[in-house]
Amino acid sequence: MDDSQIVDLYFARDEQAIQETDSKYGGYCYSIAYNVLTNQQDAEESVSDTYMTAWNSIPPKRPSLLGAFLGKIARHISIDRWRKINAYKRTGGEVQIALEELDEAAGHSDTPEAVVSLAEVTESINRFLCTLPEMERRIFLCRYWYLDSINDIAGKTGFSVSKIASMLHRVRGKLRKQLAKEGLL
Amino acid sequence: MTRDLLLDAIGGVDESYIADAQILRDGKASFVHRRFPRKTMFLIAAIIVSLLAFTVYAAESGRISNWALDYLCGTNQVLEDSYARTAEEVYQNVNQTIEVNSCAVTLQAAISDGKRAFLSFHVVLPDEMKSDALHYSFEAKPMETDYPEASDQKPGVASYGWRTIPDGNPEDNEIDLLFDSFASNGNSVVPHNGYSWSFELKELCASNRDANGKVTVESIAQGPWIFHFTFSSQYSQEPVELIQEPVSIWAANSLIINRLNLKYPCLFSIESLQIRAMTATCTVKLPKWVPVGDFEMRPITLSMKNGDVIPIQWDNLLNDGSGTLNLHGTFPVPIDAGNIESVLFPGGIREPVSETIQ
Repeated sequence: MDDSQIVDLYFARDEQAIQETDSKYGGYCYSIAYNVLTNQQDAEESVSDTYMTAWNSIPPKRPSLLGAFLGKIARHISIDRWRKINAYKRTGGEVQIALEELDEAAGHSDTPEAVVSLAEVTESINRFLCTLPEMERRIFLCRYWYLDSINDIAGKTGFSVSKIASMLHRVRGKLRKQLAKEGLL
Repeated sequence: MTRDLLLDAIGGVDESYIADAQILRDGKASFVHRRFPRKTMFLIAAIIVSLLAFTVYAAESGRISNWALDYLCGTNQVLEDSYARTAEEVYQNVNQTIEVNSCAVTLQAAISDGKRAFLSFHVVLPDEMKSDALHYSFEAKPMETDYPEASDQKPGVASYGWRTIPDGNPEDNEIDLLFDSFASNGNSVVPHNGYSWSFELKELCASNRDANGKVTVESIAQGPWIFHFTFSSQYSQEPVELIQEPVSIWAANSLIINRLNLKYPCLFSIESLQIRAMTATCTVKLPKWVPVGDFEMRPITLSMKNGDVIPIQWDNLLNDGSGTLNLHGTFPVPIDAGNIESVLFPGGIREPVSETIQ
């Protein structure tokens, strides 16, 4: 079933929408959730929450890219759950490693966090991604959006682990420069 | 900025980028990675080049049949019916009628409001196509989605969508089609003055219902019909602010707490409310205790002078924790700001707007 037919099922409030979503995107959402939570049960619950959120959002929302739309929800829910679980013990998993890497791009300026809105930073990152070569952009998003491990990315691309790590280091540096240039650091 | 904020911000990037990166995860992207030794690659390339050279030679000298040439080089399908494929490019102005595949197509309206663009066609089919068709539909495909005015300055192939709005009167032999272009991330997609825009109509279909109620869809004319539009400022609408002062509203049963689906009343402050022809923008302040995540806002509706009540449909009601949200809304049909009598907020608060607009 194609995406528009699945979205039509949501609009018709037909519960088969959830089954079709699970059948087509269940594995995709699970892989995102598992990358974050590294726990089967937590990942399954996050996927389940993803479907519920999609059910409540469509309609009125009509996503043009259903997979990416669901992936966004799954990532948001999983990171939220990861934060709750790890509130007192920030250890383990790709999120923790990715966060440490992102420290480099986030900087340590004195700008109060409240001054910089999430939406502003997201828009800036969108502009930044537009400037990146295709391969760098994909690798950056595999690492920091999908939270894939560097080993996995190396396996998928055929590049060496050190090449991926160095590419990511370079991209983080560019991102930091752009955020600083736009006054977001 | 904290690394957590950066991680969250990355989570909100454009969906087209996310889908694109998934290609790499699926292993469908092309890589520099060399699977074969250099000598083997050279050998394979030499064989392919030799085969191609032989094919061209054989075709030129008539030593292989046409079907084989067609198979190798590809060929266009030709329809057997009288409505054969045409590939003409059509230039059309508002209120102008053109004929494509024996169908008279009139562009009735073209409006852009800075967030969405709207086109309305009126199509009259020839008598021989009439039969007992219940409704017709176009399959629309954007040909060019490089909007230079988009605020992110990138060609947004996957950022912009098209949809058709169903024919209001399916039993006649006429079709009113609305093409609706919108940006998923709130970017400006306004085709500004003088900007040409083109897209492709692929197919015109008729749907017929038999005695058992089974619906069959039949293709009665195939394109592509390529339309070009050049927008002028005459068809663009500026945003209109509907409220002068912030409005506080008790949006009862407005909040969904996690998956428990518990709903609590919540006092929102509407700081600003702007409308355009087809979109609305609203700035909302939420109390600090509202948790991050989805929430539900009771409808804000427009009361029109002709008695119509039009709800604003909000996209992505998601509290990102910042406390101030910029909501993007849409209307099912284009709105004329001069015809709005009042805005009705949850809790029965009515804000007259006619003076503001004047």
